[in-house]
Amino acid sequence: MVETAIKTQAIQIKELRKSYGAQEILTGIDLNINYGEVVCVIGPSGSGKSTLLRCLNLLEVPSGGTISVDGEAVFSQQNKSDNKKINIQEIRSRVGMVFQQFNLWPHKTVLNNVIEAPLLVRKQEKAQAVEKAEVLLRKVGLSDKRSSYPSSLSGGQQQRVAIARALAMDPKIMLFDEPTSALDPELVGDVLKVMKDLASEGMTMVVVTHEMGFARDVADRIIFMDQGVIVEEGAPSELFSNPKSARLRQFLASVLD
Amino acid sequence: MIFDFSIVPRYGPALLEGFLITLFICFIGLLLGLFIGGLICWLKIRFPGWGATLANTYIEFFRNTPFLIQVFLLYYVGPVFGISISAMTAGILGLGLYGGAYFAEIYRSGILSVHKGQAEAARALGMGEKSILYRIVIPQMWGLIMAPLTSQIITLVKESAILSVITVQELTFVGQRAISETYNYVEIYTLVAFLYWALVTALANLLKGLENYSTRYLNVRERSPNKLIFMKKQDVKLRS
Amino acid sequence: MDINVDLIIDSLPILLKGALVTLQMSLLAIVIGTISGLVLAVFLLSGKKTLIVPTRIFINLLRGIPFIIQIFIVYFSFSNFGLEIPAFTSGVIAMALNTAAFQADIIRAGIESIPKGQHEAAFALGISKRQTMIRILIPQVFVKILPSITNELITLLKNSSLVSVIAVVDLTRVGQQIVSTSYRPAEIYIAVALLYFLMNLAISQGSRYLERKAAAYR
Repeated sequence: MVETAIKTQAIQIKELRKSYGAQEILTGIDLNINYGEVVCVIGPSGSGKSTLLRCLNLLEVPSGGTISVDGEAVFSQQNKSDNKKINIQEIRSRVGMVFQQFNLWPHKTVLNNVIEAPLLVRKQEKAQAVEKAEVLLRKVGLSDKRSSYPSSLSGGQQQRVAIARALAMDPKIMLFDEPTSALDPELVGDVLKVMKDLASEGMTMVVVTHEMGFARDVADRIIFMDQGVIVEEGAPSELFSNPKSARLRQFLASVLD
Repeated sequence: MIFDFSIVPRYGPALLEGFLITLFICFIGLLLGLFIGGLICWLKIRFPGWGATLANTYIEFFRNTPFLIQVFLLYYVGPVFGISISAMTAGILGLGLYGGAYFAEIYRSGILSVHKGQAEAARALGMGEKSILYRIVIPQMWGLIMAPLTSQIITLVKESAILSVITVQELTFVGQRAISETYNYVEIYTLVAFLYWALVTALANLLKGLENYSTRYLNVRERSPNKLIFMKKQDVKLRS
Repeated sequence: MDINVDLIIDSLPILLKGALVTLQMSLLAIVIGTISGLVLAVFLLSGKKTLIVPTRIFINLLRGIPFIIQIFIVYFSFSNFGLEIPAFTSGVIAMALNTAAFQADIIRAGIESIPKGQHEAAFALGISKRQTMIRILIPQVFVKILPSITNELITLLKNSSLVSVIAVVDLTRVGQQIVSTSYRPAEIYIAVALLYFLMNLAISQGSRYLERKAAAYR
């Protein structure tokens, strides 16, 4: 019963800190994200936005604070002993992630990239996993590439396969780490379209991006980060048309030119 | 000087037999070496403290002492402790122990050079570290290490000639015995050298084919270019 | 069984004498071999088929045949032509030829990796082609291939143990002689192995020091 009470929010972050040695990357982040919400994180490079995203599924281990995802504690500074009991693999399997460099496995075909985790982590029947993968590949527009190796695909196609691979685990939340930054400009559109469709289906999404157009059109909320803190947040219309802080004004001036 | 062709029918069968024994000890020695290399590599990665120290000691010893001395230690020291092994067993064991030291480092540099995003993507999907190693990292490692692995395998085949010194009846030994009978060293060394050369060349081509097969998933442009760059300098050298 | 430490200590002076021979042969071979390797590399880069093809065949053969066979061939070839050459010299020649074949491609790659601008800058200043090679390219190549030369030296030192088969009294041969009179292979061969190990350790440490010094201008 307690669980349902907590489960109102997809992601809860309190006082999150992360440092590498003496260098502080995140200096106290507080952020709550609701189910079905699309949040875009923007900010200059080195502002800590990718680190924030990678803390959510513990690809980076935080230095302090607490994180809970989908109603479950992922990291808690207070109860360090609890952190060992956390089944991070189980939580990760409920949170999809898409990387800047796609990170498709080159030695596996498109189909095998998509069904690998369902077979291995979810122990699904192969037929069932393949059926699901075919649906997803159709969704991202790549049904005809199921037997190809990633090296024969364009960057945009690879990124769409990567999205299908993440969706194959039926994630409750999707994390996107600059998904279009490594793409040639003419290939960005196809990837953004897939993401837009996903948003309109009600997926909870956290997107680190430099695509201001996408952020404005699709996001429910924009987070602007700089130097390890959230400087400003709000609805896109408000944030873009009426930035309050000097830092955001400066940032928007540099990216919207 | 005239090449005395009568040597070929006279000593051909014996040389061929020696050649087959060379093939046999190299094959078994290689399998043993690949296995020991895996074990040492595993020890080094799995237990960074004591395991790495142990593995490094092993690797440094076998890489920095002559193979001949290693073989002497195996063959002549055993009996002092009451362990007697045949020359052939000592030879195969020697090749395996020696090769293992090099293979361990080749495996390790291969594993380390698989892009870390590969494991991260698997981790983000909830895969365990063990499945990541066996299903994502190691399959890609093979493609990356084929070039240095080939050099090392060829080195191993050539080192096997040293086993003639402890009287393993392989190709070099048979050749020397024939010379001691006939003094036709020009003809016999030419034949012996040719057989080794042919074996090494065939092996190099076979392994090149295997390399192409194990990286068939990459497109032609990606397949060969910097395969040598990622290796530590010691792993790339082709050596006798 | 007990380890006879006294035997090791008593044998040490004559083992060290053998080690000195081993070291002498290896150092001579690396110097001659590197220079020959450089010549082969220049042949490979000459663009002339008449030079490239024989060089390739030579390299290919030397890389494809076990070193112990090469020692026998060099040794017997000299005596076949009636040349009375000491086993030591035969050994050094075999070692130098072998390392030259392996170094030729390393040096060639080193020369090729020097940016073209380096030649052009030198030519533009009116420096001759030969001068450019000697004063501009070779020093840079040398720094690049220093790690490979170290590896070659270590390999040579290990391979030198094989010259014992043509009766050069090197470290291995000395060890064998002591074993044949004392019947204590364990002590002696472990001592021999350790001496080889220490020599190689000294080589890699020395090379690391050189590399650090050479890296200064990069």
